[in-house]
Order: sequence, then C-alpha cells, then structure tokens
Amino acid sequence: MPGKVNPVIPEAVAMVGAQVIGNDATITIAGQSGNFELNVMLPVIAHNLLESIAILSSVSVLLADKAVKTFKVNENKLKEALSRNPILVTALNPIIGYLKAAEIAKTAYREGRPVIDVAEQLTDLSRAELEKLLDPEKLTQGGI
Amino acid sequence: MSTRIERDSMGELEVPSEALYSAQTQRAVINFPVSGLRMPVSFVRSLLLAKSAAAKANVTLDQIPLSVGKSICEAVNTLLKSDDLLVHFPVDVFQTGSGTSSNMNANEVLATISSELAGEAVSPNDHINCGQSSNDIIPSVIHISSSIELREKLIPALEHLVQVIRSKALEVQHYVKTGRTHLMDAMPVRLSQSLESWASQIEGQIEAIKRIEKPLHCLAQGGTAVGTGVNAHPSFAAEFNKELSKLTEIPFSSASNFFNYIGTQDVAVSLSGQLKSLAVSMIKIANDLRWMNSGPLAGLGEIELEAL
Repeated sequence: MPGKVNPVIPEAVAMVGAQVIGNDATITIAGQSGNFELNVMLPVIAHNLLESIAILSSVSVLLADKAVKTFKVNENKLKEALSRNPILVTALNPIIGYLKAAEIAKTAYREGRPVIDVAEQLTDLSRAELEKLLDPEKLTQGGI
Repeated sequence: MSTRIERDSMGELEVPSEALYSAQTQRAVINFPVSGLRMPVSFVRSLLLAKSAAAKANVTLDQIPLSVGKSICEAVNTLLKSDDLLVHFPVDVFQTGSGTSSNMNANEVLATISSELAGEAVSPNDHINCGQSSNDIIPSVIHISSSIELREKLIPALEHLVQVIRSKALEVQHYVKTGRTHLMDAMPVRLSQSLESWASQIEGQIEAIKRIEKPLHCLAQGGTAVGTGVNAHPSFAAEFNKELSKLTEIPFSSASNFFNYIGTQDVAVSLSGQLKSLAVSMIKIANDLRWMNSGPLAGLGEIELEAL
C-alpha cells in the first residue's frame, strides 16, 4: 500500500529472537553430546553461540536507534481512549464497592458514555470529587 | 586451478597452489562439503590468539626455540590484520565434532607463514600445536571467543539500549495511556512506566550474562586430549593463561577440573540459555512496539515508528 509504514525493526528483532531460541535448542542437544572424556559437537556449539551473540548485539542497537529513540506519540489517541475507558471506575471500588462500580462500567460501555457521566448519575459523588478520583494521571501513582 | 602436492601421515594429496593451508585442511574440505558455512570469524580470531599465547608459553618453558615462537606470533599478527581471514579457513561448521579440522587448519596456515618468516621449517604439529590437543584448545576457544564477543559487542549494545530506553522514558514522562491486561483495557499507566519496564528487563539480562562471564573465563587449556594434561609441560596452562590474559585484557584462568571443561559444554549451554532469555525479553519489547504502532486508523495507533 502506498505510504504504509510497517514496524520493520521490531519484526527484525522478533526474528532474531526466534533464531536465538532455535540456536539454543541446537546447543542444548549439542551439550548432551559429552560422552566420557570429550564433547563431540563443539563446532556447532561455537557457530550457534557466536551467531546468537552477534545478531543480538546488532539488533539491540537497531532497536534502540531506529525504533525506541525515534517513535512519536499520538497524544490525542491516548487521551481519547482514556476518557472512554470504563475500567477507570476501578478507582471508585474503595468508595462505592465492587458491585456498584461494575454497574457503572457496564452502563458506560453499553451506552458508549464517558464513565464520569454515568458515575455522576448513579452515585452520590459530586462532579468535582469524581474528576479528582478518576484523574488518569493520579491513577498511575499507586496507593488508595 | 593449479595445485601442489602436500603430504601428511595419511599420504599425498593435491592442494590449491596459492593456499596457505596444507593436507589436513584439504582433507577436511573434501570430506565435509555440508553447509558452505565456515567457522565464524570471531572464532578463528580467538583460535589465532590462543596459538600466539601457546607459542609464548612454550618459549618461556623451553618447549620450542625462541625464533620459532617469535615467527608464530608474527604470523598470528599478520593474519589478524587480514581483511579476508576466512579465505584461509575453508572448513565447514559440520566437520569432526572435536573441531580438529579447524585446529589443524590454524596449525597449517600458521606453519606456512611462520616458516617463511623464520626461514626455517616450522611444524604445524610439533611447534604450533605444541602442548595442545584439539580437545582442549577448541573448548577453550569457545570460551575465549564468547568472552570477547560479550565484552566488545553484546554488553555495550545492551547498555546502549537501556540508556536509549531510559532517555525516551524521560522524554515521554507526561503521557498517560490505557494500560492493558489480557490485551484488554485496564487501569491507566504512564508511557514511561512501560518503557522503564523494558529497561529493567534488559538490565536484568545484562546482570545475568555478567554472572556467566566468571565460569566463561575458566579454560580447558592444559588438559590436552582427555583432561590429564599428558604431553603438556606442567606449567603450560598457567603460562598460557598469563599470556592470553595479556593479549585480550580478560582475566582467563585454568578450569578447576579439566575433565569437566573438555567432556562437557555446560558453561556454553548456560550462556545460550541466558541468551534465549534475552531473546524472549527482546521479543516482548518488539511486540509491545508493534501493537502500539498498529493502525494508524483501525489499530491502537498510540505511537508512530520512524518510517524507514
């Protein structure tokens, strides 16, 4: 598709992972080939071990410099999903109880409404209290 | 192709005229046309460093003449500078299980070059391979080459990855996103918390790999054919490790039990297992990125990876 941008670096990283896991299977079997005084699968161990080290080294740098360092964040998309996320109601569990919170979540999801609107309707909490309780940023900090 | 005639204990055979290797290597080329894969260049380079350390140890212990030892070390240096080192090491990975053909390949190539340098006959067996057996040098070279590659490539690459993830986490600290468990919407997290988790994964892997470096720096060298050390000078292992440590700036030492390090590859299996664990960590990070980047419209579309 014209203009399509695929996640090529993460795909390369995952393929390196697959190869390293395969190399490990080979080395595991080769490691069992020590009979009495000598292991007799030494070259295949060397080849696979050094390949794993080499490709993990190269791809780590690509992952850092061509994916992690340079990605952009779509802030609007993050905010939109957060505002519609019924699971935010989990934050109200300690105040209104699990069953009531579940009712709010299901209603919000079924009716496609923001959870804060439904909570305002179905609880005695004020809009201001709810805004504080359901602030996504505060919810990332842990505690009760 | 023009050829010359070479002889070994099994008789005569034709070898390409310009080849630096001799009969034993040529037999391996004929016997193992399996994969076309040659031993890795990092392996060959470590094998050459080991030959240099062995030559120095043998000179110190009066096992080979000083002039011969010097020419062997000079030959090693010449080869290490070569841009096309593997031309001289044509033996397939799928060869004898002890790697004897690769050991003899190194002995023969070094014998050819050092004979020219010394102006006297240097023997692949009696001089280059003095005090060694394929059975102790090949397991040792697995440890030496892995140690060098970890120190020079993998650990710096992983440390760079951790540093880049940490900087990015700082840069995106203010973004809050939907957390996901079971791939389903869950409580919110900061984007930086996801990234710090990746950095912590890779840091844990670096620590675990570093723990394997200690046994990796123990070598079978000096155990010779079966672990008893027969046919090597009693001080050969100690001298060898002293010289190799100088050459590589890695503290190599003798294994506490040669039989173990010749009869098994337990340390290589541990290292490989740890690399597998690292691979699993990297796949996790790659998949998180792929999911966040999915879309742009019908997927999550949380991030945009650089167009490459």
